[in-house]
Amino acid sequence: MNEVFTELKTRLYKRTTRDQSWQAFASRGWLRTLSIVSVASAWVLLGFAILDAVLPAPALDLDSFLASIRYYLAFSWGYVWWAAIGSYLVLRKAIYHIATAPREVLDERELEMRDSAFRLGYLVVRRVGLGVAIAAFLTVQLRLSIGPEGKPLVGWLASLEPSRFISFGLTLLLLLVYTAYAFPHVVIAWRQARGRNEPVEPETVFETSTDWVLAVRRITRVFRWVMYVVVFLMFVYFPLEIFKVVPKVFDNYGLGISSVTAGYLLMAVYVLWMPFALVRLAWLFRAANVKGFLAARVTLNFAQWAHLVLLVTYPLFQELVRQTMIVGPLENYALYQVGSAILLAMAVAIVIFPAVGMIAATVASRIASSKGNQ
Amino acid sequence: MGRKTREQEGIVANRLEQFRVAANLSRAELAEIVGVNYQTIGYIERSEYSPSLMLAFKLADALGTTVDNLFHINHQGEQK
Repeated sequence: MNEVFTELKTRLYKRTTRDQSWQAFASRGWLRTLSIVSVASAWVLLGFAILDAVLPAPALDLDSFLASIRYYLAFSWGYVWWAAIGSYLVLRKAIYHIATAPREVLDERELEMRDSAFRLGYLVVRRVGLGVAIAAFLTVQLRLSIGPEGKPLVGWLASLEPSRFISFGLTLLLLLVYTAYAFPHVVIAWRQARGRNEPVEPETVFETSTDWVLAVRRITRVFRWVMYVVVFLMFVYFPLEIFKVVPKVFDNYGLGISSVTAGYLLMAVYVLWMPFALVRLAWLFRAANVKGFLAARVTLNFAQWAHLVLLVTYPLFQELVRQTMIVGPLENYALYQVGSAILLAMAVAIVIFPAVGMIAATVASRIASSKGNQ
Repeated sequence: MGRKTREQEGIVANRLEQFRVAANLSRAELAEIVGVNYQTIGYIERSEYSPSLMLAFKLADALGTTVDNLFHINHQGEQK
């Protein structure tokens, strides 16, 4: 059983490290920036949690200074969590070749560095955890303690709302878990960044049409089928919309549900795919070794510029189509129909073109990884 | 008299870069021969990492020299 896990881990490691696009974040500047963002956002979150627990809730005066502070806290809260989790995930990818690698593929210095980082992380979490546990125990005891006159021993503590009390405890717990995950990675990244070595650029590689076919075949089967279904449904939907069958489609419960599901699938694929694709896009533009990826670069440039042109011209064209109906609704009706169909095609293209660029970048990164592996 | 701290004991200095350049090898090539990451060679050359005995012997072997030619202890205040 252990061998199976080791094999799986090694396979995942090889697959992840073949993707060179994330190496853009392995430079000294990025490693340091991500480490600082990760640590700073954790401290900011702790500060927010303390402020949230200590600041009294404003009664009904929503314009008060206190209310505005509470509003900004609530507003910034989510963004800081995103910064914390995002910086950790990118950092994890950038140092994946050390932090998550099987022991067999690391040399003695890397092993020593990783072991000491995780040991340090364990010590930090152990001490912080002990501090949190003691503080929580004392706080609960003091909150429940009654003084000699039958009044709470610590007045302000007793007056804290239980919900805020629990929320504070949960935030501390989440931050502790975050520290357990992120801290060793931050230590490894910081130590990696300290070395003055610059990353070695792999040799320039060139793509061929066979590479493209092979790369598309190597995309995970499940992901490929999800994409096929989404694209198929989009292309089915397009003529249905033009020939005004769509209202009838939505009258049919099954078809309506399928259409909505396809929309959600498309959105999910976009949301999950977007960060990876953006990194690959940046890599395709910046990395020296992929200058030979002519088709990917041309596709990407076309998709990018066409998207921009469509975004600018869409509202203008929309206004033009609207004017045809204002000027002469009856005589311009045919023109309006054609204009509406073109507008719909433009809207579909606005959605599809960035995806085309991202597909080009993804496929290019797969080709580069397979060539780098040979 | 307690035990000396690591700083008091000095650091393991080396002439790895000299020998490597003389052998006309890049860091990546030497790393490939001894089976480590190319960055590790850089760390050793800058005395930021002291290699294990096994790696020291491998390096000496790859560069056609001996371990005591390649490595020596640099006591505090001494020039590298």
